[in-house]
Amino acid sequence: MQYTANLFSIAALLLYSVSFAVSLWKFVKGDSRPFLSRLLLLIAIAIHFVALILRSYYVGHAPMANLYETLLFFSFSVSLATLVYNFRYKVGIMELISIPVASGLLAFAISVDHKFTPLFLALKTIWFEVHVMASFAGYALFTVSFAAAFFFLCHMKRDPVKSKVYEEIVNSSNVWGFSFFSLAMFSGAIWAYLAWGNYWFWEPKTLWSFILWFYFAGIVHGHYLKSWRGKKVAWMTIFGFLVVIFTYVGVGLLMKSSHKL
Amino acid sequence: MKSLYRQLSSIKLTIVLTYLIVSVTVTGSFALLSNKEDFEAIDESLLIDWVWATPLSSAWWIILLVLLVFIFSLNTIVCTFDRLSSLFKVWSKGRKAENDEEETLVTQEISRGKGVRIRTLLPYIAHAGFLIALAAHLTGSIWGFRGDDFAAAQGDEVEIKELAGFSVKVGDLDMVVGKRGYPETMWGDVSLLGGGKEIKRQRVEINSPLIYKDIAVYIKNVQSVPKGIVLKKSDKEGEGTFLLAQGESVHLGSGELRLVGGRMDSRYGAMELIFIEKGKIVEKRWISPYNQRFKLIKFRDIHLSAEDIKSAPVGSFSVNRDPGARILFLGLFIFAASLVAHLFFRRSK
Repeated sequence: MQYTANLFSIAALLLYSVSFAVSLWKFVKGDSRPFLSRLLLLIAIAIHFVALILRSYYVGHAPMANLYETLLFFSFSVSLATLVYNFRYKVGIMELISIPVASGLLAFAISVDHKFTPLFLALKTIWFEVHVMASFAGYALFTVSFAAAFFFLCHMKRDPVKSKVYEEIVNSSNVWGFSFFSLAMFSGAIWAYLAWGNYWFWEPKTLWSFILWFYFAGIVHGHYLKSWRGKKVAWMTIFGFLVVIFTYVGVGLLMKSSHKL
Repeated sequence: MKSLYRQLSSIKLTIVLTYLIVSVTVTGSFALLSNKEDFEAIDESLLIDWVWATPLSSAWWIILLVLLVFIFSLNTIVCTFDRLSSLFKVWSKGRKAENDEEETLVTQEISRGKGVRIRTLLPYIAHAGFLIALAAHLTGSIWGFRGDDFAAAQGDEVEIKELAGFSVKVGDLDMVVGKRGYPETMWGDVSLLGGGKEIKRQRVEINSPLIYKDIAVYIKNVQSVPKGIVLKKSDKEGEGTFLLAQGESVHLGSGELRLVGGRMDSRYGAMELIFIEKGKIVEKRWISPYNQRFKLIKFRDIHLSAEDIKSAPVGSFSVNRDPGARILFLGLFIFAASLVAHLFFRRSK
């Protein structure tokens, strides 16, 4: 079962790469029709979804309990969020950043240890799934906003009409990401209270989640301020992606945290 | 005063405070690692107690963080009040926003004659939720407590030292270990007693504590604790089997055999025996029915064989009190719900 899941992950990775190559080719050629790359992305996401289902079946719980599973899920979330924004705003160019990020995460997932990790008793609750899904939805949306912020800055002077679209994507994905991450903080607090008797812990992962939450709260407020809208918010969003990556993997790798992922 | 009000109602201040809070927390997250010893007890005690008991060199960033969050709350209150009143002015007088601070997306919308809609008020409801959660956290940090872990076996009643007149009584306890050797569930039948009477009884599990008002009883672990060992004795007089309980002694030849301790995990166990002659310990040995190497021991001319270990489950529990917990969750719920509703209205737009 795990072998099949891995094959599906590799197939998804290949399709993401092809989808990226097509997007890049069209970008270089100046062709704005996104049909082919969008179709490839859609198929890749479907295959990726099957890999997640197979992994869930194999381990008997939502695939979010170790580094391999969270990488697989994070990568899927980024691709899905990209596709949603691609359809919603009809811009394919963001894939040039978000799909390499998703592919990188998936490649990393394929390279790490896949072994079965039994769930700790504290993880056997619906709050685990809610908390992790909301966190990764937040991370994925912040990744999309990072891609949009980059293209906003690129188009700001050259093409004000396009840059407006990217600005709207930055704002929308930041607000959605912040809302999902708030839900993650909320569900995490309830879960911690029920499992350990405390809704807040002074340990690196909780602190960095708080940092990320407040950081994007600042960006969301920046959007309400005329002098911050646009360029400043875009730069803050780009830097925010580094905070996302550090919160997700940096804390687990560089800081000794009881909450590694 | 007017200048202070203007400063406190500023979104710019909100952003500055947000990034100051972020910077202090980033610094703190590294300080946490460099001064591990000072932070060991922080999650086991109330924040206010911890701050008093910890050197300033370690606690400075938490004090600064609390101060910044306090200013941030003031900013949230004043800003919410100011935006609502300016929103009302723009709406009632039909005028355009006068400055950058006043010109938010909602005032723009009102200026365009779209009026005040639910969506307009949702960010302020989110602010209210955040403030409620913060006030509740403060309440819990001052008037709550986090009790130490305590061990209790079936039938034990343990007084809650922080709450006069309250105690916890433990009924059945068990832990189920799965095929792969990992615990699948652990539970205890727990009663909370107040003034000698049962207030609430519940099967307490991980993720499912007993909650009565602001008091919560948690189960942390269930372990099998060895209580005694069944030994088979053979010597020239013959054979016989007997149970030796923890701490008890029996006469053995010219001396005395005493069971002084033992260890158990989910499957295996071993017990420690001492032989005493003329008031002196002459030998210490570990014995186990699960391991052939340690199953048999010989003392003088007497052979002892371990037949079985008698054990009983003992649970590890803790009792916390947090008068702000429920209000905190209400505040967070208001916060999250108004954000989701805000997104819904954004989408319908």
